[in-house]
Amino acid sequence: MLSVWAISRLVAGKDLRVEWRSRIVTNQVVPFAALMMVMFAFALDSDTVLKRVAPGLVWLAAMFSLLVIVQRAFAVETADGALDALRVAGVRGAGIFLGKAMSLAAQLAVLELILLGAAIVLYDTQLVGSGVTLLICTYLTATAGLAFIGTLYGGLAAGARGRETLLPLLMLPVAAPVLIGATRATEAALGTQGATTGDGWPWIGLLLLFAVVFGAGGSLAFGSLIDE
Amino acid sequence: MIGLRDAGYVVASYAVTFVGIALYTWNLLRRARKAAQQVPPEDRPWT
Amino acid sequence: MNGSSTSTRFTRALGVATILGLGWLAAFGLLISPDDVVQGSYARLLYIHVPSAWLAYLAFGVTGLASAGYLWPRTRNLNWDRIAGASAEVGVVFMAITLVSGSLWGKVTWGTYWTWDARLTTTAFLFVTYIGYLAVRDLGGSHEQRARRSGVVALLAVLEVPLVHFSVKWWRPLHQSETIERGGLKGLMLFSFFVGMVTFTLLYVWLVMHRQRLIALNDIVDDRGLDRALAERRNEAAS
Repeated sequence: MLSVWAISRLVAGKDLRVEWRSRIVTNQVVPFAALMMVMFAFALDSDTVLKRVAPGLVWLAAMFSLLVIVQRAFAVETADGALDALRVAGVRGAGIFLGKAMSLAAQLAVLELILLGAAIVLYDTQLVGSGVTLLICTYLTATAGLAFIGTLYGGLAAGARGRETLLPLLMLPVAAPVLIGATRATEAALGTQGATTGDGWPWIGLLLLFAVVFGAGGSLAFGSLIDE
Repeated sequence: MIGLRDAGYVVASYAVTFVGIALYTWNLLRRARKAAQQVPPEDRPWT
Repeated sequence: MNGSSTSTRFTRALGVATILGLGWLAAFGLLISPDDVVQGSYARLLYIHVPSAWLAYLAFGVTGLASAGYLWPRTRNLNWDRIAGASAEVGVVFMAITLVSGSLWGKVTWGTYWTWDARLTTTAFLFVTYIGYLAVRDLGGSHEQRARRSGVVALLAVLEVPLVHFSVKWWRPLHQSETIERGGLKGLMLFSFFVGMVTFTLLYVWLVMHRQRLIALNDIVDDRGLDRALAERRNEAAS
């Protein structure tokens, strides 16, 4: 029996390879996310306001894009019953969970970098040298947390018709602490509204706690959630 | 009696609460009656 | 007694007590309660808003505990699942009532219908989360699948709530609603407050008992339908 870690590496590798070959995320989700950033500008109609709320918009766009990426990640499985096959073969739920979460995190990380780039270009966001460490930590912890809850609730909402619409309802309330924390930490890292990096580190603590809670909870619960 | 300024809010609050309770209770009992008609008393777990 | 209902002698007695309590609350809160300038209206809303909120939180707490009760192998029993589901529905109804009555209370006390403080925002999130929980219960499958899925969702919700609460609390520390003057209630007002708390607790028990029995009845009907379908299939195979 393979270890949880080995299983997760295999699952992550498979997922990333599937994405690499189909390029759905790069060809469809990234344009969607960029489009969102443009539409925010249409709605908010003020350069000063945009610059000020840029951190929030980046994370909002990331969260909404996550919904699409998660649904894609599980549509791949249910199409061929691959997930069921893995379970029937006795593969441990935690391994599948961590593997899919890692793959999701990788795709999300790329998306977030692109979103940050879009903010720099479209909203005149400026990176500050002293805030770079905080920014990187924010990205790492927030991405981990989002990947865990995306995998968890994605597994639940996958499969039978009429379930995919459940994903936003289940996932977004749970994602709220990440939205709040990541936005505040990013604001601190960029110096928005006079925030200093000192203001940001407590939020990293919250994001880390969130990631640990849902990483552990997800590992335990995922197996029973996808058992049909 | 109720101070004139807040009368509307207080009455509205009581109305929402009591009407809400009444509607939910009525709906619940109606559903329960329909379901109970399909299951004879001997088969019910609590009787 | 009555052939077609989920009532028993106990629930009827409970129901009568609850109605009496609610009657007192309405009479006292709308008519008898002294209207002192400082806290007259505030107190009137207190009699029903706080018990309503208490009921909602109690309901969600019970859902969490009952879900754990089902998921724990040694105590696994579908009754836990039915209590969890019944309690969640009652909780959602009262959370909605609480949010509305609380919003009106806010208008009276602070002048605004809403404020982004930790308690209110977490309450709103709890409300949406349990709507999601109820949706998960309706995903179909066997009773055991329903119990397992919704049980996990409920426990995850229990984890989520403190995280939401703290993130909102840190986010808007200036909007602490705890700074509101909360003068002590005395005499008949305090009595009515307790009547409210007790009455709503009795109401909760009454509602959950009926709702849980309704779930049990529906489950029996489902099982019967399944048994019948299986029996038909077997007959077909035999003939």
